Amino acid sequence: MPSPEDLTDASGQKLVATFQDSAKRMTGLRSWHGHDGGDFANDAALYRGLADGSAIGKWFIPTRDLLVGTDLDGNTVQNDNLVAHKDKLGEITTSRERCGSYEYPTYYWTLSVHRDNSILVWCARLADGGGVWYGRDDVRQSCRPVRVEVLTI
Amino acid sequence: MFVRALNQSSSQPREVTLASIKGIEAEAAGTKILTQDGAGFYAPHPPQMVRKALTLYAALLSGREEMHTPFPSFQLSNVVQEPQSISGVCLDLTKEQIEIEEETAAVDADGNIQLDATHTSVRTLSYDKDAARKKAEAEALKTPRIGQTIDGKGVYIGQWQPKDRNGKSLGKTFAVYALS
Repeated sequence: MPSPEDLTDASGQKLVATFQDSAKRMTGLRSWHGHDGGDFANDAALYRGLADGSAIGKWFIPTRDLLVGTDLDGNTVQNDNLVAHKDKLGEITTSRERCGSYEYPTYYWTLSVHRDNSILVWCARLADGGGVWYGRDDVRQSCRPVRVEVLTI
Repeated sequence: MFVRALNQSSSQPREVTLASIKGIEAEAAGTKILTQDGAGFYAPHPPQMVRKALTLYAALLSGREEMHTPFPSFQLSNVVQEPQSISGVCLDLTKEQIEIEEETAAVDADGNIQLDATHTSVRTLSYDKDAARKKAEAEALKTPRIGQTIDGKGVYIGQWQPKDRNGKSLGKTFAVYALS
């Protein structure tokens, strides 16, 4: 399970963890591939950080539209997303061989929280975009961090 | 203004690739893109689209077709103005600042821009190759192409204009990077 481009633990190994632990690890990143991690517990926190500029340049768990291109209601809103450009992302996890019952490394977390149940977070397979709402502490999954910079045209 | 394609009856947006572009002229409200097959397309666009077109054309002129690729293609609505004439401006890439030259292209009764040999609107102006190349390279650095790995940043995934949970735009545009 190499995928060095995915979020890693402190020893540099690919991290397969609950949402909570993934977010905590992200927050603790310091100069990870040259940039710090951001402290965002959910998508609303990220949007606040983007609005005030504090999130810019920091690694974060992608939102649903950044991972698979769809919003909370399943509408396609973002053509350029990780699934759409997965062939540019190096190695992605496509197998859950030798994984425990609650380990689904083929699924990747997003920051997007369910409208009616804040326990649920959207996650999806990077390989094909298939996704599902999972409890943030129920399963252990992968995470592909992203970061943004203000675009200058 | 109405949607119409020169030498075509289709009103569908058409993808114009680099290889098909013969020349570009621009004015405030749009860019006229002239293609190798003799067709012309008048595309309304925001100012940044003009810069994209310029970058593309500068790269084309400098003979570096492999490096202008932040904009390998773009979607255009084929728009022709009402018959009579179309006032345009030509871009002279010889200067640091874009030099504007007024020009009027004839339009036939059906609203088609005349692009035949006697009234070609293709302007291959003399230009400073190095200046064009540097300009194109500078633009390419500002806006990488999708999949391009930028040192210290990551692999460029594309632009993102986030909306909050209620669908309200943050009013910002970001470049998205991941690892590869």
